[in-house]
Amino acid sequence: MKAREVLGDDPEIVLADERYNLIHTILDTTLVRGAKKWAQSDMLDKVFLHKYLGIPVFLTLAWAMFQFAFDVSAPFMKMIGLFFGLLAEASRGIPNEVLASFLSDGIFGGLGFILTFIPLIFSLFFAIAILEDSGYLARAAFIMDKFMFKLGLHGRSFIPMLLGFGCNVPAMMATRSIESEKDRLITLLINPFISCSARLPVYILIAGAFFGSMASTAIWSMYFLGIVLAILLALLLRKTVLRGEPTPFIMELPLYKTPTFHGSVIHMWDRGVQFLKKAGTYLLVGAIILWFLSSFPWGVAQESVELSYTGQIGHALEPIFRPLGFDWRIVSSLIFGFMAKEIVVESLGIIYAVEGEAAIAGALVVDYTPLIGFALMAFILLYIPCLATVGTMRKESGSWKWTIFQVVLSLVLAYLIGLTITGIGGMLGYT
Amino acid sequence: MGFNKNVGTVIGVYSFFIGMTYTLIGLLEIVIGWGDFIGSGASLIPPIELAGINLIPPDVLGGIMLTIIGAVYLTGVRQQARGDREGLSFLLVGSLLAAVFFGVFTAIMLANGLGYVFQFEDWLKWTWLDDLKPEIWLFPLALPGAYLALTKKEWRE
Repeated sequence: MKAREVLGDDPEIVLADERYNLIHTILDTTLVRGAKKWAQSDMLDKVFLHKYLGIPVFLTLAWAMFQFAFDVSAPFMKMIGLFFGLLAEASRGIPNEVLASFLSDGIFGGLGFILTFIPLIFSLFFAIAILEDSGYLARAAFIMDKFMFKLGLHGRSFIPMLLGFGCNVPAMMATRSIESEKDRLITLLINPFISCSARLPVYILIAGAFFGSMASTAIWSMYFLGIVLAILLALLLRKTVLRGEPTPFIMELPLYKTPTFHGSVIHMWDRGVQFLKKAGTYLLVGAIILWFLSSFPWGVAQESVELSYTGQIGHALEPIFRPLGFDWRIVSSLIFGFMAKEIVVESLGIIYAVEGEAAIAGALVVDYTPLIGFALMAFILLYIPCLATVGTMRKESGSWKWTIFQVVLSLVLAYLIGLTITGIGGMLGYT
Repeated sequence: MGFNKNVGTVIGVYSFFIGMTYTLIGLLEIVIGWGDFIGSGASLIPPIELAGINLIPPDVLGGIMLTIIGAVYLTGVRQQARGDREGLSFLLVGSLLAAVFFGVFTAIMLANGLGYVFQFEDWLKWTWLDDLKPEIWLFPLALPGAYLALTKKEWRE
């Protein structure tokens, strides 16, 4: 007989109730209570866990967190970009043409460009660390539990979802705190639809190129689209292949603490170092492969990237993506984006043989319309996040079946949403 | 109960004033920025400037956040006026949110200042007045509230 049937409720709830009953019994016999003081922690919880204000306050803090990360990191990103630009320029002077191209275009131009996002990613993780160390993040999970439950998710799914805005890899690893297998699997499957920071450079580039003053709204709409699709997918999975109710959320809220700079920096480093490892492995290999495919056959590829291996692959797959308005250039960059989404930007730069965000944006505007740009942003949001995420999914789910399911699902969904955007946009007269 | 009604009324009036200020400025940011937000570019009222300083910028999302801070202050007014100690919570959290936004926007100003010092391309025309947002200049109003909520421990007995 199952424990739930014997106890009449979830065993975890029964255990928690009994534990607190015992604590109260002991306290009643040993402690003389005075008038209860309204502690600072009570004061904060009164508002942070407020029925109506709790969620708006959380959204306010989340917005402040993103504002901090994006705006404060901007000059530092520029600094790193200029540094690698100088290195790339210097390495062009090397007499051996292949080596010069490898260093300037492949390493300093390619990998260096991706490394410019280090300040952004570290700033975001620093802000998350402050919220976590203060004890607020646990409250955020608590206030979101009711909402998450309605979506067929567990309260603890919230933290991985939030971390997903930084990077899906640690976010998927954070699902280990979810005890129920079904709850965990649903969270793992929908997490890649949460827009990670790697997608942001691509959004910034495309939105900046096509939407001008509306760029931030276009970027925000991608975050929104990802969240909506993740919710719908969670509901669908809960009603079909992973049928059942989410398990109850039991959590002891930690005390509020003033976060220390030292502690937050350590937490930021622990998470941010994952990106550095990715940069030193997947992104480095990706940059080298990308350089090889777009620079060879040597001599021919230098005349036109269209004649390179990259161009040939793009041309071969172009018919599949033509209904979305994507040509061989975009298709090639999407293939390389499987290594890591940031590489999409880098590959567009190589394909167009231009350097810098402004030059790539200028080239995109000539060849594509805002509608195709928007469909491209949606496709980038939804298709396979990156090689590292697929590997993490395999490791965390312990199943190739679910890993393949996720890959196929994301590709189909990306294609359908891209097609819907171009289809509906076309019908409404947008170009 | 925490403090007498006379003190509560003063705190309530203060919270109402600061809550309304945040809310109204937030709403103005939304109205001014709405045209840009929906893409029409047309604004119901022009940005509000004083001596060349863009005091209330067009910023829909930023405006919504200011309105939420205002709502936190306003929610506690009735309890504070009754002398209920729980009303202080709204004063404390309102001030905390105001402080967080002040910190974030000051950090943004400093970062942009760095961009200007290094004369990076996008910062050549930057001046510190560009970043003097309501989140910064409204914060001094929140300081007395934060001081009261944090130091008057006897009100929490």
